[in-house]
Amino acid sequence: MTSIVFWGWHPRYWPFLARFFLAAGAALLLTIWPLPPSWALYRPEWCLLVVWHHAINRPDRASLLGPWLVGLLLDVLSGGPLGLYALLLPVVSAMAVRCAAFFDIFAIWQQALLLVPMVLLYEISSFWLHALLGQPSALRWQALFCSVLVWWPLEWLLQPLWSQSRQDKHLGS
Amino acid sequence: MSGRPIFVKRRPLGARLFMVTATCAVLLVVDSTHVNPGGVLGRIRPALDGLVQPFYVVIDAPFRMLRHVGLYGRRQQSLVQENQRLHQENLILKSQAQRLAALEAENGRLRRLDRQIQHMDRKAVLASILMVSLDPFHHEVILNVGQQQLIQQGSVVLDERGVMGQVIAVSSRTSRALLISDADHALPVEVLRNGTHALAQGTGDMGRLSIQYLPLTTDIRQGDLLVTSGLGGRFRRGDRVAVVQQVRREPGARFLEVDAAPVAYLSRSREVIVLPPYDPLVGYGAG
Repeated sequence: MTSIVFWGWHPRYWPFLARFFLAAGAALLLTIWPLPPSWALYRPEWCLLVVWHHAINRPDRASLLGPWLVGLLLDVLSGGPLGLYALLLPVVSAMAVRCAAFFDIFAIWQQALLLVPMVLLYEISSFWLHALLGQPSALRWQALFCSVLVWWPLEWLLQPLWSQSRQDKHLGS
Repeated sequence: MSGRPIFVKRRPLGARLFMVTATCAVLLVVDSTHVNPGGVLGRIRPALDGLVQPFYVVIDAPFRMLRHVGLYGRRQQSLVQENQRLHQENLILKSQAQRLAALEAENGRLRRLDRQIQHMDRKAVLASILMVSLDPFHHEVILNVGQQQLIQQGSVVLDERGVMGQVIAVSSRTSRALLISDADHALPVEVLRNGTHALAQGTGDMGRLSIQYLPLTTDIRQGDLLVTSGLGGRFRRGDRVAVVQQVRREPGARFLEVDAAPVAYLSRSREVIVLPPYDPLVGYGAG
């Protein structure tokens, strides 16, 4: 029962969770930061990047509930259908967890290229779900490029902040 | 402690993903079909709306600070000048308002609609726009007033020039308004010059409304002012909405193609007025 209620919300996960929610809060703020309408299409998918970054760096700690909560907030903030990003972000997290070991062998600039199919999938699913629910939307391919471009500085800045314990991340400590 | 965890058991990723996905599917269906509006499911979104209010406050803070700094940074002389100008304007407006009050009173007596007109503006609430929608395809704004200021769903948002939109969701301290330019929005209007009724449909373009279903013989020209007709309730009669920009008579088409430009500053206004939804039978009620 505990394992159902507390999906990985053990005290040893707390530093990771604190870090994740801080970053996610910043990502949400960046997502709703007012931009001129013509620039809005170029806004990187900050929430996706944060979820992805945390999941591939600590696949043993990454949860689905965290991305789910962030997705729910993003849904409310963006005024779209409730549950849309709450559906997509956990999927992103799960895919990142699965790919994490594979990602480790690449340099950061190569990782950014591997991000392309992920963001593309995210954009297409979001567009498709909007259309399915009868909401106006557009395929934001500009966001694809911007997300990938932002990945480099983001990873370069955030990578050193992970502690040394990162080495045994695949051991599930 | 290193090694494999003993006490923290996690279900397989696939199982967890399935549970999250199923929850979201239920949420999506509930939210997009509006079942159970008063019940637990219908209250999810308002509750979450309340939860995200801090984000709006944080986003608004730097802009508010900039406005304050801008005010302090201005030179005294320009402030004095502005003050003088505002005084003059105030005098002129006051005199106009007096005349308006007299006219309103007379009109009310004539039409025996005293009650309605007395209460017309008393329930108006001044609000400011906290943020605009991040999605260029949703023309929505967040206002800094909510249930605590007696805003309700269907309240009408105006700026000093004309109709901006209507409130579609309310939480305790903020509300979300749909602008008249949103592609999902339409409102009943009439041509001020001759009273022809029409429907002004948003186009997704802030500077353009499309006037729908006018027969080819309709008397409507460039420059005509469109005001709310009050039909269908919610919007009171006579607020300015748009000015006709272009009338096209396509050979073979059934209806005129009419473009109009909203008179309200949809993308620039910060301070707005919110009126409760107008009921043509009881006016604004007796409160």
